[in-house]
Amino acid sequence: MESLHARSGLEIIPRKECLLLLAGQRVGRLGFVVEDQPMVLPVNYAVQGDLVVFRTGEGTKLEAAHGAKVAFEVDDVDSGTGSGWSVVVQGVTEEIPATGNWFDESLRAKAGPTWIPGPTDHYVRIKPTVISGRRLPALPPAP
Amino acid sequence: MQLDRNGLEVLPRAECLRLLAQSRIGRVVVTDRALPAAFPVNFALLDEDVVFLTTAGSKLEAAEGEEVMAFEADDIDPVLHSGWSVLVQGLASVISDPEELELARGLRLEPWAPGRDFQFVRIRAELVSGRRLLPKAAPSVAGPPPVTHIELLEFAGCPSCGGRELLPVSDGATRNFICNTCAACWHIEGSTLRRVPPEHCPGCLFKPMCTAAAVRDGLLVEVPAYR
Repeated sequence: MESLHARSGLEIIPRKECLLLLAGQRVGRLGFVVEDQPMVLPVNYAVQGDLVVFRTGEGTKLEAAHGAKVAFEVDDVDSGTGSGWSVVVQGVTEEIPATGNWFDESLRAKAGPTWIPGPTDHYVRIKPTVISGRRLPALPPAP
Repeated sequence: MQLDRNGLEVLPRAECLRLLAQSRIGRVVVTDRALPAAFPVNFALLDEDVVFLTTAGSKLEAAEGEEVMAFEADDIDPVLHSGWSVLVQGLASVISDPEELELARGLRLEPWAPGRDFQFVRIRAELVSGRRLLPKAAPSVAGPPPVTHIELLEFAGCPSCGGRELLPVSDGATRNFICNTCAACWHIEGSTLRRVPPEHCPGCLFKPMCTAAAVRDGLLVEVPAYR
């Protein structure tokens, strides 16, 4: 049963489907705040359960990885028709420690290699507080 | 070419703006109830600033408050692991000046979402930065030798990048193998692997990838045909 967002007219995607859509993509955008300034960077990621995990090197993404509030957005929009969907995970980042316990290790394994050439020795997970999604169906052709 | 600490190519401002001018969809990040929130938008450039349409909500509130917004556009190929990303940060404002409004209408922007009472938001291009990610496992500048003799019993992986996984592809007549790591396409004849030049290949589903790989490896310009 689809429900429409009252204000924008977009279809609201239920949480379970949001997680499926998240798991089907490989690149998302991480939005966060650095020194009161919003910032957004692309990152290749993986999903385990409702945790988004990724690897990163030294830099702004890592500085954001210590208990920062972030928005992680993934979408698939057809630039021809404008139809598509967008899923946003809002939550708090934390570094995945090399504790050796199976859960942390499975997350670290899941995060996989990044595509950036430099060293990426830091593993980060996003603990979600809100997962939301919107879909814009393709418009019927103009009469 | 300037590289950042992660080995990504740093794009100059002019190149960033050129890439933005070719794109239509980006993502805006604003602060909504103390949490960052991200949205896709259709956008266009006005002078060097990012302009998009929005209706009542957190994006409009941020613009009305003349807050700083972050805007990102990218084009990243998940197969070749290559692409670019450009970030624009600056003060956002709702366009109200009639002359500016006329210019913004001329951009022929469509809102991404349905709705009404759309307003134009402009993000000043105060900070513009960009990075380019080159395809992974790119071989040396000289490119791989086009013909490689291998013993199939001792398959050592893709001759170009060493990738262990070659996927069978067919152009209808002959059967070739495309590397799942670097997208180099190989034809096997006896115990010889030959790089398939895409311009002489009728093509399969993977032609865009192997063409991109051939351009990356310099095959299209340097190697005329089969040797």
